[in-house]
Amino acid sequence: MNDLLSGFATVLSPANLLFAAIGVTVGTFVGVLPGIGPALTIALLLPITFSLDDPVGALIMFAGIYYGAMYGGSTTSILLNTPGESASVATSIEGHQMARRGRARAALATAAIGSFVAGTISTVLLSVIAAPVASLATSFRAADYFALAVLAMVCVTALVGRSVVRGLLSLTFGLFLGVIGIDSLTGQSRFAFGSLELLDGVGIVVVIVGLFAIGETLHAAARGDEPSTVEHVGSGGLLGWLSREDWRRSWKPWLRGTALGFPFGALPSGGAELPTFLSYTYEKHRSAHRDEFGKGAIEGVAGPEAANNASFSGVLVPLLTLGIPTSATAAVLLAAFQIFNVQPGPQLFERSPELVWALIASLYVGNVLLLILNLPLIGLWVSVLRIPRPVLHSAILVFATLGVYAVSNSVVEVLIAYGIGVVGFFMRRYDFPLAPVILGVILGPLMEEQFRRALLIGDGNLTVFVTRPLTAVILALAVLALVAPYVPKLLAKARGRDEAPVKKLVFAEED
Amino acid sequence: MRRTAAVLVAGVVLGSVAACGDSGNDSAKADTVAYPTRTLQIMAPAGAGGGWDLTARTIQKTLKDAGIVKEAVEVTNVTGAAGTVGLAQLATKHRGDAHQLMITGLVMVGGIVTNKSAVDLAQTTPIATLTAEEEVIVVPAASPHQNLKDLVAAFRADPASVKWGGGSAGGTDQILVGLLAKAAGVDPKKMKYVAYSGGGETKAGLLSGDLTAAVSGASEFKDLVAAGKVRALAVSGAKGVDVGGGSPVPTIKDNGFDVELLNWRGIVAPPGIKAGERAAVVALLDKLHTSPQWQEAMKQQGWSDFYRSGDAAKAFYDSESARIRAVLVEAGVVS
Amino acid sequence: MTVSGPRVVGAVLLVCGLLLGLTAVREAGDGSLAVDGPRFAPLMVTVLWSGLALVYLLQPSTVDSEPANHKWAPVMLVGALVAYVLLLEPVGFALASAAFFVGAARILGSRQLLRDVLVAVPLAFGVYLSFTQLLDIRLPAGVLPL
Repeated sequence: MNDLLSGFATVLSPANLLFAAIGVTVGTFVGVLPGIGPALTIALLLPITFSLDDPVGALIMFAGIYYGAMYGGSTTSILLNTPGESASVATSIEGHQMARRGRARAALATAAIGSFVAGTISTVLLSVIAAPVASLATSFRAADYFALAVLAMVCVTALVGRSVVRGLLSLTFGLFLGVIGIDSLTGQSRFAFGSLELLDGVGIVVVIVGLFAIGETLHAAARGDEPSTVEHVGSGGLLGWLSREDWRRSWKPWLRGTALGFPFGALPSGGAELPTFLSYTYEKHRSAHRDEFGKGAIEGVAGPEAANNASFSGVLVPLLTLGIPTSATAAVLLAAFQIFNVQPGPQLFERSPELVWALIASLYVGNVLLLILNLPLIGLWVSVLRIPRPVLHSAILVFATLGVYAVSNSVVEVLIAYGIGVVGFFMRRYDFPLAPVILGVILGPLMEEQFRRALLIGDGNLTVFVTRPLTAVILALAVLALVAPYVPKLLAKARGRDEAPVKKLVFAEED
Repeated sequence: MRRTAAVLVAGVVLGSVAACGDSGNDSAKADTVAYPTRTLQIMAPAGAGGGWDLTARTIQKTLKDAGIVKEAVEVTNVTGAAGTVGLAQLATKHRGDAHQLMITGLVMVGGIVTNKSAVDLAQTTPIATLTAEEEVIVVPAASPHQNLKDLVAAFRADPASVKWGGGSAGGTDQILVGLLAKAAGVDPKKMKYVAYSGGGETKAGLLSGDLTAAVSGASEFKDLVAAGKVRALAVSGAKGVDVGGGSPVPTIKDNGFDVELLNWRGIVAPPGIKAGERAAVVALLDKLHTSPQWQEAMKQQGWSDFYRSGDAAKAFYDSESARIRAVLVEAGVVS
Repeated sequence: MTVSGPRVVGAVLLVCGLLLGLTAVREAGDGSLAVDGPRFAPLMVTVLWSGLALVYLLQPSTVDSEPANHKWAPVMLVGALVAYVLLLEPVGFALASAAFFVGAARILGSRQLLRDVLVAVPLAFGVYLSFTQLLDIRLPAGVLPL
């Protein structure tokens, strides 16, 4: 506790507060661009910190950039349905529907406050239970990860949407994108068609920019004019952002999102995307307003946004205690640590306590600053929607191109993004859900890699998936999640009264 | 080895021979031309934040800080396929442009082989090698293997019983295991190598008990070694170094296996530049290398000096390419 | 929308799935299709794809998507995008972006040329300058002496 207090003492100096404020501001504005998420923003701004002598100032700025970029990404997902990175895809599902119905203000507010709540709680968790969580997380073996990926895949079937066939086709498309390129375990190329760019696989950023930013714009072009302004529904309520009803419906998803985000972030190979999708599914399943899902249910924004932010503190657990980066952002942070000659690992807390506690304190400060900066900005962001559509969409296309090109410096990568954009356009026209594609791209390679790793380690013996208790339990849970929705129906049938209304346990609706 | 390199360097700066065969240079005695005359571009053939990017940006900063060039120096990132996407751009788009340099390294040499890249390093104009990092072989603290001899004895007895882990297929770590298998008389095709996407994942694999032994850059495991969670068995360089445990770890050679491998980084220019230009770029890098700012930066980043330039660099690139291709073929990574 | 659209989509999906499946088999060559090898997943994915596409083709669901008022707008937009990215390097980021912006806005229904130009030019040059000068990210300068 004393350590944390001295950390605050370091961070709360005027100079460091300025760094935090600059970080949050720059992060928010850069994070708004499609395709430029937190990891890239920090990587881009890394050289700027080379000139800072004090690592504390730089790290504080990174924390600010991270939170800012994360929030900037959610802003565009909600307003324009153009998520900048995979962790805000889940937010866009309900968030954009809310914006289309004139509730952008409430969506942005629940995202900002939810991020703050989740960020604060998970940072507390980080400062209290980092060490035990880390040792638990590293006991996960390849077979367990495979089981976990299967469980996640089964649990998030709600994303499949109204038609099972179309949803599964979307998922398959994502799985296909995931296998393109060099096989990570053997170095063999798959579906590269002789192109060096494809050898490296299709990056998740390219998929997201194509599917969402480009696809959405093409769709808008076909649809023609839309009323350029959406009538804003005033929320009334406290400070005009969230009504009493919104608060009531948001606080539980915030907490549940945090509970999902933190542990998943802490798992090596966990990351931020899975908990956001899991949170979305859970909220949809639990909500008393199930009928509102797909039309802008606030729970569907509050939960994933909280999960997204909480996972970052989770990601810091293995990073700080073991030096294991579990997300792209963490990998960039690790590089930043090394530039300042700080090697994260078991001894970091003993060797550079000032630095660690200053970083943790800066997370709190970054959170508060983000809230202070962004709540007033909501009005400004919402006014983006008043920009005439042709201008707005042209700008999105320019920024999407810029985002992909600036990262890769490759025209071919941009063309790949456009190609995926065309697919995204047809998916919209023929009512294929988009989120399963992202799920396939993320979960597919994870499942395949861990499955084959487990087999390689287990000498090709499939029993590795049942002999280890942890693996077996997770797989059993997955089976349970798969059959559970049908159990009431089957029971009813067995009793011979299938016509009776049965409370279904549903994870996926089918039509 | 290093002394011969230095001698060769001196020779190269005076009058460079046409090492870039197809440039059709007209004079055997090329004078150093004025260079750079405009913005110098350094391509890092990987994403921002990685080792190559860091090298490029450190060069950029040093060239400015030490006042070696007055013109602007820009860093470009071209991502993809172990740097072979950048390599292909260098050989085609930037052909003959002496103001466009590119960072390269052992990983690209492996990538050229595994990706069956159409362009290889021999087609570029080698300028210099810059830095190198040792590899380290570690086992969990609870492992029965106390030294590399124990581990290799178990590996020899039953190659499948030892699960090696490290970075991507065809990368430095797998190359090292392949070389070690060859030296120990084990068929490299029989080794069980589990590839991970980075040092972090490898660490997790080792700590969870999936792996028998892990291979990675020496700095990667420093903290875990110091904390006593893993044991370093050997380093891959020419002499033992401390990787966190407080005392130097013996080399692979000390353990009786004739293997030496360094994860080096270097810099190349596009094909087709004039001999005079090549000499000028080499001279520029020589100046960079001797500047106190570069020495300071290397110390700060923990890079060890691996400088050789001009023909010495070319000879090194060639021999390294041949050696790496051979071991990857023998390990069955490429056919 | 009639059911014929989805039928076409289903047929295209099926053909793609089969072609990709064929590619997966060909890439495997005479190598093994073992479960723990690199060739198993591509095959499984493409078989799944083809199977689902077949189901979709046989019972295409009607879709109630919004009417396409401007059939050719997306096609022209894709053409403009491709031209844009191909011109990016020779012409330069700022100029290409400004030109594309104005063109795209017109395709998207804008009829206020002056306004679009007044937005496009500062936007393109502002982005170019802030990326190259502030963030130190190189973008193609092209024909302009920037």
